[in-house]
Amino acid sequence: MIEDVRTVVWKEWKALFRQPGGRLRLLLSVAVPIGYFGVVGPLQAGSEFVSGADPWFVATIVPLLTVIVTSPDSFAGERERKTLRTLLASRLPDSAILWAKISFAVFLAMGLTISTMLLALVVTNLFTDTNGLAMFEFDELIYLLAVSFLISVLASGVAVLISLRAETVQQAQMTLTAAFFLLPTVLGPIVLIVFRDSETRPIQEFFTRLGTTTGRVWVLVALAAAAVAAQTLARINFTRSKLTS
Amino acid sequence: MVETVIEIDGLTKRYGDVLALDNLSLTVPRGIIFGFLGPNGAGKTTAINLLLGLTGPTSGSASVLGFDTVTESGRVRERVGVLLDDNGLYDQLSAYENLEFYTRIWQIPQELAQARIKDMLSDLDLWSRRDDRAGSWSRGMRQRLALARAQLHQPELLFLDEPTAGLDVIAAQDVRTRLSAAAESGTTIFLTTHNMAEAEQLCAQVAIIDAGRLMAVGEPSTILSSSGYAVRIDGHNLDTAADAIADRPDVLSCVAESGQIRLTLTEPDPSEVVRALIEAGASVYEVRRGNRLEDAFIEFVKPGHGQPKSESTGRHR
Repeated sequence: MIEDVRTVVWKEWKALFRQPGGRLRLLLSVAVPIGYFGVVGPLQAGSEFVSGADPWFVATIVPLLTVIVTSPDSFAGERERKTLRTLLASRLPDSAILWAKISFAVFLAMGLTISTMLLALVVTNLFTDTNGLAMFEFDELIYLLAVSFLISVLASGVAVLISLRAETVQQAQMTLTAAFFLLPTVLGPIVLIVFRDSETRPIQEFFTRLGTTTGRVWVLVALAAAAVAAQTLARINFTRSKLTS
Repeated sequence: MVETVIEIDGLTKRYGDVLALDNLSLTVPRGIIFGFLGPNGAGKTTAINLLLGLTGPTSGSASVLGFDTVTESGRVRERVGVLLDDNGLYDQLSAYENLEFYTRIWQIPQELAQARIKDMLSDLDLWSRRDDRAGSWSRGMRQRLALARAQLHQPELLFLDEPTAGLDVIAAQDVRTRLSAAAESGTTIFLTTHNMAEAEQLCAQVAIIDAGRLMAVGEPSTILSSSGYAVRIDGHNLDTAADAIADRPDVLSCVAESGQIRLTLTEPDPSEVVRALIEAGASVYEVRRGNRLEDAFIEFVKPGHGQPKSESTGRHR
């Protein structure tokens, strides 16, 4: 099973850089957030970067962007390029194909998240005024990476689920972008406008409580539960008969 | 006793109101090229999907290489090679990488895989172009590459869906030669094709399906005789004279067009019919006998052709 997953990941990696316009698309999609969060953010925040909110943007937005760029291609791309049926007719088990597609997205998302954080640390230490070595607190770093990992797993599960059903890569990408960015950015302000301050206070307090140790545990548990649910849904929806009909 | 590699029993597949495959039953013996013929939408691709376990039947059952296609579909796919209607190549990968991906899928040891890929690409005269993107190749080259990919793990059984469709004459002939070679080396080939000359040339047995129903199955010669004996007659005044013979009991079908009559007769000897044509005022310049599978195919799938046949022994009008 692991060997089969590695085989499909190997193909995904090879194909990632070879699609028409793939390199440019990848560069633009990834370079902008890495450049912003890894260079501009630290330069503006200085030594405060490591203790401020910026690392949270890195831990959440970079994985989401990476998944939006890469995952729609997982099944919709195979379907569009007419390679899916031959792949499904091979000896690869369902689970190997599915987990390979999901693992590849998680692997890329985490790789880029960690790279962005490292770049940010380098920029902070080399180009801003710091008292000694500016570094994340160990507990904070572990928590950041755990949240980032769970967001990657959750997002890639949702993305693969959408890609399984989408006719084209573009359709999958648009659905994902709407789900990950448009809905939150539209719903957030609407909540603030529609509800009075007293009514939104419990929500604000809820988010404040998330900073405590108990709150953090609950965040991790909730993300893990959502990630498992997304993966399970993707597994249920991955049936050869649905994909070949 | 001949070993059976595919056994289909009453296989039916329904998509909503559409009956894609209707109570199909047939067997495919080992070591032959078996032609699965039918017009577009006849159910050929559905049958292949069912045999590969890519979809489940509404009713009936099938086994491939002794494995049930529903409960043991994974074991079926482990043992067969496929070249489906879309060649399934990754255009953005090189020819070598396309084959390498599938050697990894089939878990062929690396050294053996490298040697086999080199042999196959060399055999196709494409070794020097192994690093080209597959998408940059001609359709014929891609099709040959896809055929090589299907044979990488040396399967006992190959499913080939229209392998020569859209190829030029030379590329198509090259693919046919390779199929013959594969069959001679003991591989069973389940071949769907629209090309009747190809089926006649390659296949030891054929099945004809139409609208999901099996119309005939057997050796091409048996199919040909069961569909009647085809005769083409060139001459003058044939259109008028055709009316005089159309109702004869030994004439199964009679089509007159552009100075020619195409007949299907119940008997191999056309002399009585030719005499009747001349008596009806026609001048006959040339009579050509000889059945072609294409004629039989058209007979079987033409509108109004009635009953499906489990074995091709009957005559039809």
